[in-house]
Parts: sequence; C-alpha cells; structure tokens
Amino acid sequence: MDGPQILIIDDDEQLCKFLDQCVSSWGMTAQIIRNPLLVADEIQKNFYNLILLDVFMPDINGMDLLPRIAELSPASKVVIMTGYPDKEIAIKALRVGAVDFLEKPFTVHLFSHVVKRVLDTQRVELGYKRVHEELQRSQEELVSRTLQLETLNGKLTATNASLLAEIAERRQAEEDLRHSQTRLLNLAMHLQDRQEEERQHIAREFHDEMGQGLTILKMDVAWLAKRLRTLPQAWQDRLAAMTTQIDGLVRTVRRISTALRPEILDDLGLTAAIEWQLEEVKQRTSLAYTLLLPTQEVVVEPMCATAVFRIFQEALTNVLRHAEATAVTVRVTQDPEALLLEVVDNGKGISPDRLANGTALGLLNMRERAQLWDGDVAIQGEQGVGTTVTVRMPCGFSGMKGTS
Amino acid sequence: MTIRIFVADDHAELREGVKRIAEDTEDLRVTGEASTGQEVVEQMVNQAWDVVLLDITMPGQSGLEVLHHLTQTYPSLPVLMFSVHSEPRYAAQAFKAGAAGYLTKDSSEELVGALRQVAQGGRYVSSALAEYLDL
Repeated sequence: MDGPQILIIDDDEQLCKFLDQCVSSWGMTAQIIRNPLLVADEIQKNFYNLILLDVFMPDINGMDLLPRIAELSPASKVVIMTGYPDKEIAIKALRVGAVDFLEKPFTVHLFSHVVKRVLDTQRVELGYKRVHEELQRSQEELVSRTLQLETLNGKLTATNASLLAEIAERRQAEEDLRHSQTRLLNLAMHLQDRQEEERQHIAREFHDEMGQGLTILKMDVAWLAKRLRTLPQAWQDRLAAMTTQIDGLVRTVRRISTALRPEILDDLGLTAAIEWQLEEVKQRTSLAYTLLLPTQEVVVEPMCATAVFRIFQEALTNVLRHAEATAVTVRVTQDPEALLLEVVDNGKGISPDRLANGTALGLLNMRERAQLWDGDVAIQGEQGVGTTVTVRMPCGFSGMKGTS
Repeated sequence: MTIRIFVADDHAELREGVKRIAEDTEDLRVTGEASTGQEVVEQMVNQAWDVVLLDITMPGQSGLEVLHHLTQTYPSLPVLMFSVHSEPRYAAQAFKAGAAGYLTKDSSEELVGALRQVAQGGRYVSSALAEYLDL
C-alpha cells in the first residue's frame, strides 16, 4: 500500500462509512476503529500517517487517547473531531499533540482541505527530516573519512620516520665499513713495516755475530797454518780446506742477511739494488739479464722503494721458478705520476689458468704490496714467447736517495 | 822499526786474534787495547801508538764518534776502521770523518797489509768496497 494510511476512530458508524468513502475517492485507504480500546494495539501493528479521532466516545474520552497515541506513534498526525463548538477542548487537544480539529458537522470540502493540508505538512516535514538525516550522515562520513586520513597520515609519517632512521643506519654502516677498510689498510701497512723492521733486526744480528765469530775463526786457522808448515801435506790441505769452508760461510752469512734485508737498497737506492739482485741471480743460476734505466736518476721515497724492490724480487722468483726462461729484461721508467717497473722474460709464458688462479701466492703478494701504495701489478703471458710483469707505483718523491 | 798498534774492539777473542797475527810479523806489534770507546779516549792521551785499529760497533760511544774524536785530537795518528759491516755507507762516513782506511772483517787476510799501508801514511779500503766508493 503506497498511499498515505488514515485511521478513523469514531463510534458513529454512519460517519465512519462516509469518511471512508471520501478517503477512498481520493485514492487513499482508511481503517476504521469503533472501539477505542483497540487503538493502542492497532497503531503499534500498523503505521498511520493521519489519525482522525473522535473525542467524545462512550467508555473512554478520546482526549485521554491523545497522549497514548503521541507516545506510541509520534510520527502520526492526529486530527480530532468534536461534536460541540468547544474551543477549550480544541486548544487542549492541540496542546497534547493534535495538529488540527474538525467541528461536527463538517463539510466534505473542509474535511478534504484539512486532510490534504495535514498530509502535505507531513510530507514536507518528512522531506526535511530526510534531508537533515542525509546531511548528518554526510557529516558523519566526513568525520569518519577525516579520521581515516589522519590515521593514514599518521602511518605515513611513522613510515617516513622509520625510513629516515633506516637510511641513517645504512649511512652509518657504510661509514663504519669505510673506517674498517681504512684501518685494515693501515694495519696492513703497519705490519709490512714491522716485518721489514724485524727482518732488518734479524739480518743485522745474524750478520754481525756470525761475522765476528767467523773472522776470529779464520784468523786462528791462518795462525795454525803458519805454525804447522812442517806437517804432512794432507794435514796442511785440511787446514786450507777449513779456510775455504770459512770463506764460504762468510759468503753465505752475507747472502742470507742481505736476502733478509738488502742494505744496498738503503745505501745506494732502488736501481742499484735491482742491478745487484740481477747480478746475484745471474751468478747463481746463469739467467742473463738486460737492465734498462732512464738517463735521469730514479728518485723514490724509501719505504716505497722497499715495496717496489720486494715486488721485483717476487717477480724474479716467479721467473726462476716457473718461466723456464734463459733471459730477462728489466726496464725502469719514471714519469711525474708514477714509477714503472717492467720484468719481461723469454720463457714459456704464464698460462691463463695460473693467472686466473687468484690465490697463487706470489701473484697475490705482488698485488697486495702494490695496493698498499695505490699501485697495481699487471701480468701478461704469451704461450711460448714469454711473460711480462708491469708494476706501476705512484711513489712520492722526497728528493732524498735511500736514507735510513 | 816496530809499528805500534792499538786495538779497539769489544770482542776479546778478536783482539787476541789480531795480536797473534801481528806477532807473526817482524814489524807489527799490538801494544795497547781497549774494549769500549771510553777506554780508547782515556788511553789515547799517552800517545804511544803509530796506528789505531778501531771497530765500528762498540757499546757506549759509537765507533764513528770515537773516530771523530781521534782524528780531531790526534790528526797525525792514522785510524784503520775494522768492521763486520760491508755497507758502503759506513765506509763513506768513516772516510768523511777522517779515517785512513776501512777494512771489512771478512777480508781479515788483508789486515797486515792494511795496517802497514795506513801506518805509512797511505789509505786503504777493502777491495770489495772500492767499486762502491769510486776510489
């Protein structure tokens, strides 16, 4: 039932029928109740837009029903119907919740007017109420959305903060890493220095003590030899052999202590030390050499010179051990940027997999030493032709040659 | 004529060895010895020697310091350095400080000749060192 629902409460049967017909003719439906005691239940069961109430009925005063109706169905509009022209009753009714009154007898015209007016008012009220409710809903939604946005914003701020914290952490970790690397480098350099120092110390002590002892021994043997000239030749030969043995030991002592720490490096500089080393190797192994030096004297800071010399020794050792070469060419050049050392042999050429094997100790050593000084070592091999080791060291210049 | 030699070295056996070598010659005799630089300086005031054989590494004053003192105080007294060190740098420094000669201990067979040469006013350097020092 779409149209407005009207409830007619009156004990006058004829009137009710009449009113019902009017209402029906307008396309509305009406319900009739003649017993006021049934009203409460009825209006709880069904909703009525308009309730027409007779205030004078037996058993119950219609006026008493008004508050009850207002309580049970506050949205229903009540129009009372009175029998006498009693303004008092009308005003009282309006005060208790009725919206209008009809004095019996009333015309159809008046009836229609009142009904329509009440229903229109109701419609407007309803419309207004709906708009108000919608507005409120919108407002609530707005508040809810705002709250959501704030929560989201809060989350974003928190995420942002934690991201910034993470970035800071990463930066710190990077810096710590850099520090560690620097300290590692420093440690490596320090260890190299210590190593050289220790070698120097051992070399010196070994050399000096052995040297003294052997000198004395030699002197004594010479003294004996002089006094024992009358001895059989065999005995004299033995003494001569002792002298030779001692000389050999002296040479050995010198060789070992120099190998530990070549003084010539400190005294005469890098190029002299390289030449000395090549000469010494040639005496031992017959490896021929060509040494190419620049016309201008090579000037290198002492500690760097030691590093270059050690790398050179390593390279030379490799030639002797693996290259199966007969000759080696060593070239030293120096430009304002760096010192260049080239060791080229005519051996079988280093194999690619030996080169790739990063853990081959000799190669690793050379590279590590070079790295400590920001230098680098490059190795190239050609099968059957030879191997070239190129060392590049940005050695600082001190203007002094091999000072201690 | 006897050449009087003063031997300064902290190794007693070495001093003995030099004595024995000298005794085997006609002209060389060791008549004084010391084991520290201080003793050298103290005894040298007697001025009773023709040549000093001085070890470069002695406890206390270094051989070079003693050498310097000797050449300053007794300019006409020749000093022959005797050392285990065959580093050219030591020899160069010794000559600079006024030494008449530098002999390495592994060339001890040259000792007699070196002493004679230096005592007679000449200079001496171990053959092994000669090329390094451009002498």
